[in-house]
Amino acid sequence: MIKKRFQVKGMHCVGCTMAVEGAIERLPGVRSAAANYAREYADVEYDEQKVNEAQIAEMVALAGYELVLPEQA
Amino acid sequence: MNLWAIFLTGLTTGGITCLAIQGGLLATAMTKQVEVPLKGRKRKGQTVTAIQVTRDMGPVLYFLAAKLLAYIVLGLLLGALGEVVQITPGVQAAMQIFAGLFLLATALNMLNVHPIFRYVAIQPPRFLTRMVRNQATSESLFAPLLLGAMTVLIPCGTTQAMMVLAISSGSALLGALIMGVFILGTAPTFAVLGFAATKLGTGSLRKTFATAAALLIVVLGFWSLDAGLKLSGAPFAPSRLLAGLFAQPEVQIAEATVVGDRQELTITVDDRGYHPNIAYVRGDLPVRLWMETNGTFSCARAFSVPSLNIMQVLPDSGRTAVDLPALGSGSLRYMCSMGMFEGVLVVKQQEVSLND
Repeated sequence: MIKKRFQVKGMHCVGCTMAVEGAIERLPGVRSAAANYAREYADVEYDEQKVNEAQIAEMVALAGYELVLPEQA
Repeated sequence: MNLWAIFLTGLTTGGITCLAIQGGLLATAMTKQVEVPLKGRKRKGQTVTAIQVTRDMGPVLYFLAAKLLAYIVLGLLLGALGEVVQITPGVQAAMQIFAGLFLLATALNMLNVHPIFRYVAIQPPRFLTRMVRNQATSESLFAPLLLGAMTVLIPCGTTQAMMVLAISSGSALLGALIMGVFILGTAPTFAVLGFAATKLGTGSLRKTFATAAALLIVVLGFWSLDAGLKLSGAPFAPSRLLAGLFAQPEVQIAEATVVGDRQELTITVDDRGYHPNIAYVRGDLPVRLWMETNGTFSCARAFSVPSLNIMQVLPDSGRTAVDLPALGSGSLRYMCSMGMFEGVLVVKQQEVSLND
């Protein structure tokens, strides 16, 4: 289980943080997600064996936001 | 206490000013709340049905119900507070200046001017957002509930005036009634806009809507800041600087009448302000102002004389005496507690007074 911080773009209100967190936590292998609107990031705690960064980014994209992967940053 | 008048204030002025401040922000937030769950469930080729429209109205109703409840609680607290303390013009000025700065920062955030303004948005505590996500079916409803309740944190000018009314009622029950009736009055405007916002989508229309709302908030922010500066007696309030450049549109001049050992002046208070707004008085006699209201519902009813720390809420119809000490020399400004309407008493040199 590891914890990583990702930059999240496109959150234009505090309600968006709930949508981002909800989207990430739907993934099996994710223990928790905590998004911050003001600083535009999401802290994700997940099991690397069950889920990867690309899958997390894809789930966030489905919810209408952009999670920036370390190699894109 | 005329509750019907308060309801009408909410329905007219309150609905519009509150909408500009809270509606713009919260309807935008609600748009997203409705969209996210829909996206997840939408199947290929699915069209918007009547059931979906009914469901979309849900967030708006939840938002309004929570808002109403929150303001009733706020009114209850303010009324109770009114039994203990009185809001002075100084406190009112500080509240206005803070509200003005908050509004400007909010607008700058909506316009994406700089990331620093993102900090003005108040994020609900973690345990609440967790509650939302744990109840998957209520995901689109719980957030509007929260946002509705959170509107107490960003009251508009008219709401602030009602809050002052609630405090001045000096009763928890009356305070709750005042705020409840007022918010009920603003509900129809909010319901219409809130529903419209859920239909705007994420395209350019929503962006245009957010920009328009932000610009309106800029105007209201400056207005609130200006009112706060005027109330605090600052000579550099923008409207005063402008007034120095352009002539006042409507000036009515009168003179106080000496009655026994004091002078009296009748000021008519209507929805457009104070008449007269310039009055000459003697400096050596106390002044009794007779404030006359007749079906007056504007904030002009919240009469204040900042430099004397006087703040009095006038009845919507009636004649109220406000006693001032002898002014000595110079001038004395009076205004509504929002700083929107104002007037001035000017001490006249005794040898030219008509009453001598």
